[in-house]
Amino acid sequence: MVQKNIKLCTLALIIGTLSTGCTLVGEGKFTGGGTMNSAGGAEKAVLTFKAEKCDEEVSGQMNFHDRSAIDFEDVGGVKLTADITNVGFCELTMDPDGLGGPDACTCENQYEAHFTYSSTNPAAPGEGTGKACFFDTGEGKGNFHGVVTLLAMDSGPYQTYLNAGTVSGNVQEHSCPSTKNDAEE
Amino acid sequence: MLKKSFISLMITGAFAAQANAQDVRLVFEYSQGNKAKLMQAVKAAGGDIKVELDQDNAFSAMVSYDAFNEIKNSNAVKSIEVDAQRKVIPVSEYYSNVDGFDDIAPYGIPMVQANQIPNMGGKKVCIMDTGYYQAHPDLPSMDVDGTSEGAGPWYQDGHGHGTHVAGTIAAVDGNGGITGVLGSDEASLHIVRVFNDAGGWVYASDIAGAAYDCADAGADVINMSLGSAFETKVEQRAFDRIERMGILSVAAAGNDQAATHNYPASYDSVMSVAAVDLNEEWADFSQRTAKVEIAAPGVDVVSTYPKVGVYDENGNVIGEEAGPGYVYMSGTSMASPHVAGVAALVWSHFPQCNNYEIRNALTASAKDLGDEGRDYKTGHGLVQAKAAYDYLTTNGCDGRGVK
Repeated sequence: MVQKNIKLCTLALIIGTLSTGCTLVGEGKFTGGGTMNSAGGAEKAVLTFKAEKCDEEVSGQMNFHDRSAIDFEDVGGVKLTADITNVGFCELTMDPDGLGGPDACTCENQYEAHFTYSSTNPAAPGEGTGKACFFDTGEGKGNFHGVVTLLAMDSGPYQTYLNAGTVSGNVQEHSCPSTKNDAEE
Repeated sequence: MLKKSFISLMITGAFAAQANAQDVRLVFEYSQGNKAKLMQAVKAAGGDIKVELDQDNAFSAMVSYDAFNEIKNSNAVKSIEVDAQRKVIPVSEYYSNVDGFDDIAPYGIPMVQANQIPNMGGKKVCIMDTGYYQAHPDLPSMDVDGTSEGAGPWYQDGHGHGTHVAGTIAAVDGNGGITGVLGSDEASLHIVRVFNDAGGWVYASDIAGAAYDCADAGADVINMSLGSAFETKVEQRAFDRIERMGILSVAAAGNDQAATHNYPASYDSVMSVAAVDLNEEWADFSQRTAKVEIAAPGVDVVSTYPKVGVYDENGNVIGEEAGPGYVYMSGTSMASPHVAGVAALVWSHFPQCNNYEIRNALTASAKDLGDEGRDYKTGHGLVQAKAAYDYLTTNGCDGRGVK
């Protein structure tokens, strides 16, 4: 059933008709970092991020470097710093009022962050937008390996970049800072 | 459109169902001596143990997200990772307008030079797939056994993918029908059925367990026409160990039309196989990566199938019914068994060689395709059985070769 729902969600994405689709919901704070496989390359990509949506305020940054991405070999790979523009849990919705806006998302039943990025590779200058979907493995007494289920650039110098992989490192969800929650109360 | 289609493939095919229903399949690695303690903690939290991988001090289990939050603070936990999905990798299939053939060699057989050297036997190929239609008259039956991993009996195949793969490796020559890479003699096969009749999906820990089944059965070569986008530590360790045990693992590079890795193919201890067509041109569905090592025919490959087509008066296929038949399929799933078969074929002439030496001979003798030298689309090029045989005849091997 969930796979069917995912198909609905991604079908909306593919054909561009958003009579049904997914939207970002909820608040929280997410941190993560580590290495993951390159987009086709032999080396590991390096990722760190912090994303926060509390009291409807969004903040956070991401740094990403995939030096061996094979489709960007001629410019020396993908290297960027990004500002988070939205983050939350991506849920299927049938409410047409909630679709197509800034909260529209791709990865149903996963966390998803949207960002604007600036290339820090002088050979591929420019700015663009992208999205990352991830799964929270939390923190505990052992080593936890998170998963980035999608990292895609929608525009800018790395527009065709697509990747996914297991993060050797951590992807964690935290509650919003108590001061903000208290302030709201 | 391609990019958006690929996004959907990644999300639906590789992971998203994990997040379904608040249950997650995880691999738990325990610190030495703490297996019982951690398993007890998982069970106490309502978890369902799925696969035990004692070689790697690990097991997989389906747990709720709440249970995970309970278990993660146990002192017995060394690491936890998401157990990634693994799927069969088809692109397309269609019936021919005849259901029987009269001793034909599909185009891939001469293309990989499998018709230029006989199979001397003695090398066993293990096939992890949807099963094996043992009743097919064109497939070996004398030296074939298998393991059923909960997806159905290994000697049946209601899906067809596994039977098609098996035919490319081992369809018997000289009995009508088609011939496979090892077809000049009855091949030795071990079947590990991991996928059900729907061709669904399993997990990386299941594949790791199946690899050990292959090893226990005495396999020399493992074929995996399967995969997906996420690597796991436990699966990687399994294939590293399998490699050290002297087994050559071969897997499909994937059909996602993108520059992304597919596992297990992209582990260093596994040969990643790309697909080419009848004209030795790279198939544009075949994934491009730095780990693609070799190429083989994977477009419109005819092979054995557990069903036959039903036709109308004009010869158009209008359905299918049970029975031994043949079908054309495309995908790196079809390329991988060509390489697995060639590996066993060449190895049968040089039993003193080890798996590293056979792997090296296959890549060193491959026919360069596309860009000069190794490239991301076809690796070292098209696998060539006779050229690899000649390479080993000239250069020899002493069973001590390493990567």
